Amino acid sequence: MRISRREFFRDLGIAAGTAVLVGRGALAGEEAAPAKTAKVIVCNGTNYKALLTRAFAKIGGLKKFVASGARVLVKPNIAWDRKPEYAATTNPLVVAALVELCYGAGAREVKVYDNPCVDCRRSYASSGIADAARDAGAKVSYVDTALGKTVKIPRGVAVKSAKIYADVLANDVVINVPIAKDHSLTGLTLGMKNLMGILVENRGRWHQQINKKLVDLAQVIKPTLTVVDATRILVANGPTGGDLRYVKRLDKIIVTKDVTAADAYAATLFGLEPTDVGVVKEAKRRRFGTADLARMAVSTVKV
Amino acid sequence: MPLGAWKWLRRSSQVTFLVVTYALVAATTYPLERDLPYDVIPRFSPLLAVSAAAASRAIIAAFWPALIVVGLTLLLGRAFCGWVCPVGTALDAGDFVIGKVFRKRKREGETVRHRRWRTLLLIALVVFTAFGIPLAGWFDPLSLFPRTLAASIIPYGNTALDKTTLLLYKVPALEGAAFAVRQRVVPENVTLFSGHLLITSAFVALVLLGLIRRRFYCRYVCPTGALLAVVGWASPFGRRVAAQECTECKRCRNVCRMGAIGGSGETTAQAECNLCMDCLTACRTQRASFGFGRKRAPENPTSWAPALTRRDFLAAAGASLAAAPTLFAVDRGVASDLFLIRPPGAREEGEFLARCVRCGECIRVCLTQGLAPVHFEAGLTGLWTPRLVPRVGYCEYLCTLCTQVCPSDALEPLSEEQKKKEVIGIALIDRTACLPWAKEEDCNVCEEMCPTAPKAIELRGQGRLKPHVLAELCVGCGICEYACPVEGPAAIRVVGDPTRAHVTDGRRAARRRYRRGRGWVQ
Repeated sequence: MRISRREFFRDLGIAAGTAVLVGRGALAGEEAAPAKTAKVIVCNGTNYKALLTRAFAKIGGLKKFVASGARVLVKPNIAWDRKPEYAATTNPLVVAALVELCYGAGAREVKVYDNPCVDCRRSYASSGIADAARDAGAKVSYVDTALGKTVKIPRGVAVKSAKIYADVLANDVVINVPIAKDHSLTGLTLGMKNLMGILVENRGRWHQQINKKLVDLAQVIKPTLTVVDATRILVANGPTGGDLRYVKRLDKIIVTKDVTAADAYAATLFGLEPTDVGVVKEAKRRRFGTADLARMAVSTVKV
Repeated sequence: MPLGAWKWLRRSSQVTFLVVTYALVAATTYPLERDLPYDVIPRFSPLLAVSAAAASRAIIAAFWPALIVVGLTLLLGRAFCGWVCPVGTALDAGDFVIGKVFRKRKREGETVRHRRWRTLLLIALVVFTAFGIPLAGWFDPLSLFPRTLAASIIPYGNTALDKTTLLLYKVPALEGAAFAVRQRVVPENVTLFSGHLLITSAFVALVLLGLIRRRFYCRYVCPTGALLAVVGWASPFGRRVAAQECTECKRCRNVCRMGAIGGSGETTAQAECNLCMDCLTACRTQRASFGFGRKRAPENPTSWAPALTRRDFLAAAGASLAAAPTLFAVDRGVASDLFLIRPPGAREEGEFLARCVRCGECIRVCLTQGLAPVHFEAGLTGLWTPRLVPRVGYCEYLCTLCTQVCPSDALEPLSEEQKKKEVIGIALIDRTACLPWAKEEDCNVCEEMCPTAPKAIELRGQGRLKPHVLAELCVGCGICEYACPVEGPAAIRVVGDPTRAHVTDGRRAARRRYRRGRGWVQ
């Protein structure tokens, strides 16, 4: 195996660093506990607004992220023409709670949209999200695929550019609100997969080497926060579901700044290891975000 | 009432019905939640009622509004043609423009002999109908007009809006307005149907026939007009001419758009007059009037009846009788398009063809605009019936819109639960083109999109996962074909449900051939 000079120095550095850390730990007589690099807050309960308020408090309060006068995009999963109870789309109550909290934190404008896989009029209506978000004061609109902006992905492994809905880039804050679901190609569809909803190009073509492409995309579109809706999860027949026997009620919401950590932790809700999810495995390989459960500071909120 | 007022009343009535027709067809779109009779226009046609009923050998109660038109005609004659019919109104507008542009229209001569053509067409349609070949919808104005709106005029308007708003996006001040317009238009899936050119051409041709005579279509072609002429021949209402001095100016004859007035204005062809009332004001001595009773003007020999000889009648009936079985046989041979997918709720193919009036309402309402008018893929007689073209738009799993707007129930209304079980076709994978099968690339798009529970497409395999269709679960909605990322024709395609067609044998054989030749497998 040939090793480039750069790889040699990198590996050398890692080896030296590891040696120092291990050595120090050994000297101090401590266990080599990995540094906690991601805060993950797990909410338990059904009062979503109260849960989220307390969860945000643990990472410094929503005001820290949503500055006064900020423009916010709350990006749920509205991909399918399914009623909320089928767990194919994000819980409309969670979306509404987020919208209200953002306004509470001082947001000037909160938008809610997604580029669905099926007809947008039906998915917006069936999912209950359009009504709930509108009632909460959000500006709900359909994604106009004519308004694309090509974003370069300089460090992309599988894609070098992506056509993004231009309005996404005009926001100060993006809150990524996926629902945790089964998916045949990525294992599960979670936070990083949810970001595909802002693409306005041929998404069918993203499904080859999808895990690499999703990590590529996440490097340029970094959500400020990722809020995984696991109030109910879809355990089979994903991502469309369509039968209540595929739905498992958990009453959980995961809040974190690190989309990889969100996906990795959410995997455990399905009884999986984080690396069982292709996209988390890829992120871990590329050292993108925190994929390691041991390096997460997990705290729980209950109401 | 001043005589001139009648003309304005008639014009208002025409414009009102034209606008109502347009508004109803334009409103026939998702979510159909207003309480409107979206499918009512074709149901007003007595010809479509008779045709669909005879071809399907069933009385179709949905056509009750046609009785209103029959009643109106029995009483008033062809008032429908002059006051209501949207095609008549469009032709009047066209004739007006043609008159302005080409000032020297050929003198409106007597055309007695040619009046019979519309009646001969009516006879042929009736004979064909008896053989289960209903072609009335091709010519009937209440099918022709909604179809032209649905497949041509409204899509052209939407396309124009789409392109204009895209241009407006480049003007910063108008960006917001353009976005607002597009929020309404773009979700309607701006699509030009494959068949739009033929439908447009047919309509433009009708208008251009006005170069030869005003209301050419109404005089010589329209079989519905021919039917109403028969029905209203003896109506008590009509044009009356007082016995007073006449200047022989023949202005009434020249102004008559139907060529119904004969002599020096003293006779009227009751079966031709559409009560436009233009002759009232044209007359210098004001001797014409309209009313009930015996004082009706004497019958003008230009009417259809003398023009239609017994020989004509027998020739038309005989020729149609001979042509019908031939057409039937040829048709069944032609109709072997493997990929002909009928909309959900469609009856058995023969029954479907018999009932479908080709009005285009289902095509208009289709959520994804995947329904398109066919040319000859369903045989010669299948022209302008609907088919699903999944590569353009799939059939949304829980959507039942098209089944709600069919005026003749050729598509039977489906509930959401029924729709889930409605099989309109079956997906087949082309293993020579499918990315995981042929190119060693990952792909799950068809499986991901598949809406059934459990999914009708399963990914299986050691190492690379490859899609397989589970035939017993597939409903043929075509979302897999729609979304397949392979360039050009999809690597998964939906074949029309072979079990519901009377062309079963032809289509099954075609399907077998296709599968053998191209390596298509479920």
